[in-house]
Amino acid sequence: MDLENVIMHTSDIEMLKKFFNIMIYTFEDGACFFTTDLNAVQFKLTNKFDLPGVEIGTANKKNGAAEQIMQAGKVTLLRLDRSIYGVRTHAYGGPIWDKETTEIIGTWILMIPRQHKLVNSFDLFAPVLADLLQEGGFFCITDQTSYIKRQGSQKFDMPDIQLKTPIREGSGPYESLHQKKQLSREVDASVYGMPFMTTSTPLLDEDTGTAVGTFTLALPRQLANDLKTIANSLDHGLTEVSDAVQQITAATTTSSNNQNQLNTEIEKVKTQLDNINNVMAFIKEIADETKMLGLNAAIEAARVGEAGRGFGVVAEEIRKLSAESKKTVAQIKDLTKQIEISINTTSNSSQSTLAGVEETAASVQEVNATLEEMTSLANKLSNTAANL
Amino acid sequence: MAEESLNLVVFTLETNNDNYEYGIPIEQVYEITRPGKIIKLPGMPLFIEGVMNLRDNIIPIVDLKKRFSLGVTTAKDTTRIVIVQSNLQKYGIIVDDVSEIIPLDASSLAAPPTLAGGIEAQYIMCLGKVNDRLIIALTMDKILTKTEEDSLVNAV
Repeated sequence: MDLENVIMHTSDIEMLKKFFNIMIYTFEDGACFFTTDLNAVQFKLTNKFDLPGVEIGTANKKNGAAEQIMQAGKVTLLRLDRSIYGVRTHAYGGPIWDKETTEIIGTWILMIPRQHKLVNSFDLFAPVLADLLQEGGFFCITDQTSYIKRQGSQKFDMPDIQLKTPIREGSGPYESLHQKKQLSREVDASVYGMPFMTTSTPLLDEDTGTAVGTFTLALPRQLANDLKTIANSLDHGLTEVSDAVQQITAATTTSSNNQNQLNTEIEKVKTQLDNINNVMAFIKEIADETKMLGLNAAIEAARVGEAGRGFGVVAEEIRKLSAESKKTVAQIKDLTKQIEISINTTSNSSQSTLAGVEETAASVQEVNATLEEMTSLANKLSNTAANL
Repeated sequence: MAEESLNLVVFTLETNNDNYEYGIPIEQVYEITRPGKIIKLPGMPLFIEGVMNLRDNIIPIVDLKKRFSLGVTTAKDTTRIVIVQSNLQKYGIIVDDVSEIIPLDASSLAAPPTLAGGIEAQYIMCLGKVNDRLIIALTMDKILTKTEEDSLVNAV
C-alpha cells in the first residue's frame, strides 16, 4: 500500500494519536505530532522538539503544513523553511476525512526538525575542541540572518557575538553565505586584542542546495604572527649585518691596499735617505778636504812669517767654516738617523697593521659564511612562518 | 821655560777611547796630508812604518803612538800624516786627526812636570792650557835620537 494513498478518517484519529505517542520517541532529534481541524490546532505531542507558535487552539499558519496538506488532499512530505515556524522542519502528514471520505475535516502532521548535521553536533564537539586548541578558538553557527550557536574558549572569545546577534554585513559569515563558498580572512589585533584567522563555511541545504547558514571558526594567530614578526626582523637584521660585513670587507681591502702603498712609499723614503746620506758623506769629504787646505794654508802662511799673517787669518776662517760644515753634516746625519728610526717604526707598525688587516679579512670571511647560513635559515623560518 | 808665544798645530792621538791633544809649533810643520800608500822597505829600521810618496818626495813615516807606547794607529777617515821638518830630514808622523792651529801666548804655557823625567820627556816642550784643555806641545827635534835621525837620512 502506497503511503500516499493512506486515508485517515475521523474514527482513526484516536488510534493515530496512540501510535504517534510511541513513535515520537524514536526520533533521535526529537519530533512533534499534532492534529488540526480546518482552522486550528486540536492536539499536540512533543518530544525534544517543539514547534514555536503551534499550541492547541492556535490558528493554522498561513501557507503552513496543515494548509498545504489540505490543498494536496493526500499524505505528503513537506520541506518547510524557517519563514513559517522559525525553524526548518520536515513535515509528514495527511488529511483527515469524514466518514464518507468526501470531505477533509482536518490534518495530522508529524514535524521533525530539519537541521544541518553540523548544527546538531555543534554542542558536542565545540566545547571540547575550543579548549583543546593551543591558543583557544571560537566557533559559531549562523542561520541566514543571525548567530544561533556559539562557543568561546578560555583563551579566546568574541564577546560581541552572542546568540541572536544579527550577522553584520560584510563580515565573514555574511560573505560566505552570499557567495556560497568557504572564505578565510585574517583579522589583526586591533579588533579582539590578538590577531586571528576566521574561516566561514556555508551550510547548504542538502535538498535545495541553498545556503541556509554558516559554520565559522576563529583561531588566534598570535604565535604564528609573533613567529612571522621575529622571522622578518631576523631577516631584516641579517640583511643589515650582511651589508655591514660587506662594508668591512671593502674597508679591509682598502686598508690592505693603503698599507701596501704605505710600505712602497716607505721603501722609497729609505732609498732617498740613503741618497741623502751619500750626499752627506760627500759633503763631509769636502769639509775634511777644506779643513786640510785651511790648515796647510795656515802652515804656509806661518812659513812666510809676518807677511803671511793676513793670509793666515783667512786660512783659519776657512778651517772654521769647514769645521762648521762638518758639524752641520753630523747634525743632518743625526736627523736622518732619527728619520730612519721613525720610518722603521712606521714600517713595523704598517706591517703589523697589514697582518691585522689580513687577519680581519679572514675573520670577516668566516663571519660571512656563517651569515649566509643564518640568512638561509632565516629565509626558511620566514617561509615557514608565512605558511602557518 | 816657555818664554814666548807659540802657534801650535793641534792633533789628537786616540788611546783607549781617550783623545789626547798634542801640538807641534807651526814652524816645525811642513804640511798636512792624507795618508798615501805607505811602503815598507826591506832592512828598514823598526821605528819606521814605511815610506810614502809625497809629490815625488820620498818621506819616511813614523807612528808616534808606537813611539809613545800608546798602541798602534789604525787608519780611519780622519787619519792624517803631519809632515814635519826635523834638523836633518822631513818625515811624517801618523796622527788620528789634525784639528786646528791654536795661538798660545806665554801666559798659557806651562813647563812639563819634572816627574815625567827620563829621556822620553825631552821631546815635551811645554803644556798649553786652552780653557779646560791641556795640549802637550812637542818639539820634533827631540822625538828621534841622533842615531835614529841618521838612520832616517840613510833610509831615504
